[in-house]
Amino acid sequence: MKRLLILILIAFFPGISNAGPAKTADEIVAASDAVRNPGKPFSLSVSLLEYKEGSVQDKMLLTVYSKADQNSGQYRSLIRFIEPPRDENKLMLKNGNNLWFYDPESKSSVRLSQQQRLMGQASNGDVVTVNFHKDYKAKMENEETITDADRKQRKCYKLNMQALNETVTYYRIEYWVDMENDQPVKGKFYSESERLLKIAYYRGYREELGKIRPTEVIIIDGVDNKLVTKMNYSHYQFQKIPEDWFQKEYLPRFKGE
Amino acid sequence: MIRSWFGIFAAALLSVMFASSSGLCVQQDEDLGLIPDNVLSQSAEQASAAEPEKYRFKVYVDEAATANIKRKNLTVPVPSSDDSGWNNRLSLDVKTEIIFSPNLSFIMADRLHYLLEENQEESGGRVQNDLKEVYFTGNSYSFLYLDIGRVNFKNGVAVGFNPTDYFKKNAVSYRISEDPNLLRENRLGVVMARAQGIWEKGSVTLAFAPEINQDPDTWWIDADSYGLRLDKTNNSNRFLSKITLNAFPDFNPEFLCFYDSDRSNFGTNLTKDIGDAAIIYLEWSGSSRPDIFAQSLTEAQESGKIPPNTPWVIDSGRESHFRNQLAIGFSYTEKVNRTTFVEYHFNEAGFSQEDWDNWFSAGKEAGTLLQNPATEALGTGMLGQLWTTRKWSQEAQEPLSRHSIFIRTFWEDALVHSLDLTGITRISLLDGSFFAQPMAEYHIKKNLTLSLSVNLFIGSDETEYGSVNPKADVKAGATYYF
Repeated sequence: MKRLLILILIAFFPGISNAGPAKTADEIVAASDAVRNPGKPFSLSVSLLEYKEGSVQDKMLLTVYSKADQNSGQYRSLIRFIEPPRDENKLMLKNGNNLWFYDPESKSSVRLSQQQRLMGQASNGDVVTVNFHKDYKAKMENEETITDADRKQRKCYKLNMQALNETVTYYRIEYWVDMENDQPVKGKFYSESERLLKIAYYRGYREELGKIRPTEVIIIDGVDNKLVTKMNYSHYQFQKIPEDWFQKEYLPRFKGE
Repeated sequence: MIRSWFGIFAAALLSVMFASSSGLCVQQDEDLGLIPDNVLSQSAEQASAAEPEKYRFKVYVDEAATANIKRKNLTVPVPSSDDSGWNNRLSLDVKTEIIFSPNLSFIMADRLHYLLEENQEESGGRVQNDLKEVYFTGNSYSFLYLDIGRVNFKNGVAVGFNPTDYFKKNAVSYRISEDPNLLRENRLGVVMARAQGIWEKGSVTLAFAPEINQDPDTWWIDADSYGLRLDKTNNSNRFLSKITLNAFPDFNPEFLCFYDSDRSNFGTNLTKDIGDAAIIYLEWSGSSRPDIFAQSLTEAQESGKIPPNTPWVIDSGRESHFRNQLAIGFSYTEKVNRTTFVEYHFNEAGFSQEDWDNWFSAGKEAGTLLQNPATEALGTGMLGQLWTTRKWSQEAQEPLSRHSIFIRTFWEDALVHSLDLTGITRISLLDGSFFAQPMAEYHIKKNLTLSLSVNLFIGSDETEYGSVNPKADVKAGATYYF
């Protein structure tokens, strides 16, 4: 009888299927962050395919080096462009609001605004390497079963995340996290004016650096929804990344070893 | 489109099917329908792993054909005017980096030009090689770097004029464009020893560039096809020290001290973000120096281009005193992926309106002297001095007028995908004349870019940009990356 009662409870309240007390919305976001981001400094390779109405119109290969800031918990990243050939070895540095673009041909470092970073495909990188729980206050909306990008049904927490400070790229995020394993399934990213900027679907889960992580993200442009970007992640590896890397003066020195 | 609708239908059907089997709220996910099926099924090309590399190699070919439209009569004639109506440049650019070990690398960057102009067809044009960089770089104690060789060392945060870019003078051996970005790609490095320490909280850089024997018969001076032109880049002993502070999260001031022969320069670079879309920046340098007239003519006499005892056409005073150079501006990015840089440039050593009046007055007088065979040589000499000053300003990459405005707009994927539009404007605030360069680049393939640009020098006869040749030029180009 007791066993039957538990089964009934699980069927109707799947959120309590995990052992222990129910997680708060913020704890769910933190757990989801841990699915996306390894706890230690790492590098990975990223390929981006940009589709317009289903046809590939642009391709880009990048290598990303990321390390969390001890104080803010946010990831700082160095992005090295591999392709297209005209952009080969150009670098983009993101260290909080300190954003720089380095062109080895002209030896010039130009400081970028947040808006400038959001332009172009490379900006999609932060949909994956941002630690949301540090910068957002999450609120549980409800529990939903949604269809993921593989057309499978996923029982999710639907969270509404509001930015805690003005330095973040997205003012509000709607976020669906799998109730069973804290895997992010979908996100909708909004500007301060409630303009939908991006829709992201996380898929291709496989073991990387000791945990099942998404290796593909499909991003639909919020303004022009015929524009879809597919990002594939490969070659995850833990990497020794000194603090010195995350400053403008290091960019001409960067070799990526 | 059919696939999109099928995707929406399938997602909706799945949602309905599962709704009945769950006690949860089930969302009909219309967003999924926005993803075409082939996006889901197509496998991605994978980037290589971030492994340590043994070498890097980048090669591209750049072709540019330019047609000029000349002004018929310049108020101040050019003594040795270029009469060609067109020119063609074919350049091979090679950059290689050989990584011997994590602590030692060799870097070489070279650009070989084949140049052909109208009236030179019979001679077959000429070849010019620019060995831009060749140096070893070493690293020890993880934070200390040492570079020895010919290094392209660029400083400054502004776009159109860099007062603290102390090694820029005479570094552009062939002026491929008026776009400062492109000029930086085509500049010669300086032979130097450079040490740099980089820590979490900042960095310190020290560089020493020695004067190299200026004997014109040596291969490192030779200005012909394959000479290194070290007379341009290493004609005096220079020393630079720079400190960058990372003391604040998003404000990293830079302070520079530069010593050139007997002159000390001090400079700073500051940047700050303002909101999400704007960056403000300031680049300043100051030193005790003569004005552009005195400096250009002194150097011309020292190098023998002008006879040593020749009196100056314009002598506004040869004494040095503290003069400032400033580039202050902002960049603003719009949501359409267009970024605009607006800068005010101040060069205290540059021409005032009175200097311009003197320059045109002396030029007209020299032009009159050209009419008489008895005074023609005198007139030619006067014009030589006047244009020496203007050429010096261009080679030193300093604004000629004291006050000017620079605007650069870059619009990526403008109007259609892979089309980039760039607009550059320099406006003299003294006389209102201006230079404008609209440019379109189309990335037809991932390794092929086509470009078209127009240079316009607009102004009345006695203005900065209205007194130069050509009046306009049109350039068509192609760049192929291997």
